[in-house]
Amino acid sequence: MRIFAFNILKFSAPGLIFILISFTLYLNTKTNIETKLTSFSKHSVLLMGDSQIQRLHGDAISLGAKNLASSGEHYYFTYQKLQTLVQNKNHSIDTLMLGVSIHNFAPVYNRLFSLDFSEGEKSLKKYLYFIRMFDNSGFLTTFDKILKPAILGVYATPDFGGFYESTNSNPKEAIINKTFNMHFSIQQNEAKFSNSQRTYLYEIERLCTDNNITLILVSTPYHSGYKEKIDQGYYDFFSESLKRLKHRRHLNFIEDDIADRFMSDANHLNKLGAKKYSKIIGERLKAAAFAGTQGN
Amino acid sequence: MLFNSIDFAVFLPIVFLLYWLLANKNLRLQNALIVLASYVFYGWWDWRFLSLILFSTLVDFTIGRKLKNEENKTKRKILLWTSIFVNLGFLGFFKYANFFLDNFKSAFSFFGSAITTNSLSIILPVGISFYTFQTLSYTIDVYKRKLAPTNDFIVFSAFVSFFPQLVAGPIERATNLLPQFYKKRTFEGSKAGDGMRQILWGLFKKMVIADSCAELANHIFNNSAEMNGSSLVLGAIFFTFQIYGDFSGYSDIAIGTSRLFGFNLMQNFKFPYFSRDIAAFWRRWHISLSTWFRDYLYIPLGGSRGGTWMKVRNTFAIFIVSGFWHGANWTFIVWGILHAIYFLPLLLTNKNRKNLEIVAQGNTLPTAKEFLQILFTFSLTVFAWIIFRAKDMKHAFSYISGIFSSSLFEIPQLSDPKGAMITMLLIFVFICVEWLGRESQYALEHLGLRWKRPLRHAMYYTIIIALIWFSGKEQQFIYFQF
Repeated sequence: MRIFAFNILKFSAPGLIFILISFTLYLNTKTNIETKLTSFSKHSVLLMGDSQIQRLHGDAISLGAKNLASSGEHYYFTYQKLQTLVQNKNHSIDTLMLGVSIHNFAPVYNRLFSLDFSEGEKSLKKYLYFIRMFDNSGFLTTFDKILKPAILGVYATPDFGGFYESTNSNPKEAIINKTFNMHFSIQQNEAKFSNSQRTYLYEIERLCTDNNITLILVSTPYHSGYKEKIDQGYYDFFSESLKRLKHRRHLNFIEDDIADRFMSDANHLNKLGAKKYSKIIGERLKAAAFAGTQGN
Repeated sequence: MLFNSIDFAVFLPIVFLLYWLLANKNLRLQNALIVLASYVFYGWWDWRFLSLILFSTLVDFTIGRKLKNEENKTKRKILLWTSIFVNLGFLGFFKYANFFLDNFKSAFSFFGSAITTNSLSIILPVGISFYTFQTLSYTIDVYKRKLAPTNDFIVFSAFVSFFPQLVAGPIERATNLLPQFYKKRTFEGSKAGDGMRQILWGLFKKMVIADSCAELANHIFNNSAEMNGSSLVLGAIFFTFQIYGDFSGYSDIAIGTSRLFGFNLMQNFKFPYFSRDIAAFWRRWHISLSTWFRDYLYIPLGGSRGGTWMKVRNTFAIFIVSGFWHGANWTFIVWGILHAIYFLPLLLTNKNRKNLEIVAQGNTLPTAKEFLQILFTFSLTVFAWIIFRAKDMKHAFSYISGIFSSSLFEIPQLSDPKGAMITMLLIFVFICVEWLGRESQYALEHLGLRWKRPLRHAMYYTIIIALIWFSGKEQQFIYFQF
């Protein structure tokens, strides 16, 4: 038995060393990330959410604004990032501009929040360092599902998000269709709407309230071809989800009739569009032109 | 508890350490620990069905003891039939009640008198087909005086519920497994190491091959109406490797786990896809079940001793029952009939024992003739698996007719072409390793044993990395439903 145990130990040694190195690297990188996020908390305005708001110029909106949005970011990860940011008791964040769009409640966001899908695995890889180790959200399920994306995540460059500019314009129908299918196709009997997005949207609101941060929701425009494809049920779910927010301030540009030259694809502004809307949002922010709790 | 779960990865070392460190010097304690561990293992899935196993154990233990002292032939027969009735009664109720109910309804409505009954909501207890056959083998062997009944209830409980093979086999014979519970078991490092290698290979078969194939096969079978012929062929091939990897992988893990505890279980698969004819396939596929049917059904029916008609009748009987054992669906019965049709020409021309030896033994590659024989047999099994996998016979017919269409020569429409390419590459590597190890009990048994340790360990690490990297999403074992 002793020899057997010794042989097992000998065989396991390289694996254990690898685990030890990975864990050390994880802890070290996580500390660095938290330090970096703490430095971001010195900005007074933060832009967070997914790729729609990622296209907006922080500086054009407000001096001292920092864009931390990232493509395909589920609100769960935004919430996790925000938790780290507000951990710094001396943070200067007074406004959080959060991207909200109708497709944020589409089935693709179920997949981005489930390790049963490749989208979820990619999320874990991308946001590993932003998730709390003993998180009990239901995202980190069984060990076997976590293992592969977690290993990849340890050795991947952490994605803090940030401003992204696109020079494309006049999107073709094929691109619009592809994007639409990616967002709204339902796979493997999954739910039609993403309830987890709704849950973490409310969690973000709660965190903002607890930390005296003003939450402003921003919906950037959609291409008309994409907009008309979306089922009315999603519009209803979107409005219903937002209605439940207690401290709702919403800059909604979804209904804007926007020219194709401002759009990069189905649902993203290009360089021109971003410039235009960043300016509009900036002006509204300055003028504090929020009419009540609803509408443009 | 699933073999490929983190629960089992924690459970196994705990039981292993308790077994060899705490209960090492006490055989009764070791057996009791096996019973306890087995009940925990099974109860993890649904503790309510432990009562079924316990009841079955009590019935067969009592009948076995009564048979020992009973000389009256009629009374012995009554005891045997009580055991058969109880065991098959449970199996029939849990597995086949709705099938018969639905078919009665269809038959009545066919003759114009429609009856309305509701299907029963019955949960199929995992592994019921396996442990039922195992306990039946005990009673039948005791009845035939091939085996002395046991007086030790713990030993008998351990035999019925032995956790490595409880839910999906191999279906052990009492004559093989029961005596092992009486023997003193001392720890052998080489045996445990061998067991671990077999577990590793089993996990590779299940998690890498079967689970990767499952995603592709499920997608194709579930959307077969929209698929072209070439995609349907690929779907059938993926399922062929899925079911083999899944089931033989389970058997490898079961046998390997048993070896960790000092037990030897029977080999359940002998590289069946390298068979040169269907008779050879059936000597190599799910051996514990086919030999069970051979010994307890085929031979009592007369086997191949009688005239042509008897041979045909018995062949069909064993294949139909074998198909029906898999589940309450006509697809399984037709699958069995199809294999009987494949088998019959060999039986009638006395060629069913032609290819007994290992193919291309001692050679690296098969001859062209052997290769073609393997390919032909493989094609027959792939075709039969379509019927086995289909939802119902209508689905099977539409799937098959979809294959034999002009779209057979089109490029396959795959939802995940990259994933399919990787899976095909993994299948290729898998076939190569299985081919290299075909003269052993399992592919990895002797492979690399003569290599230098770092190289051998590198091979095991490669498999472990493949388990992490390429494992598919499907987790349930197919044979749990049978």
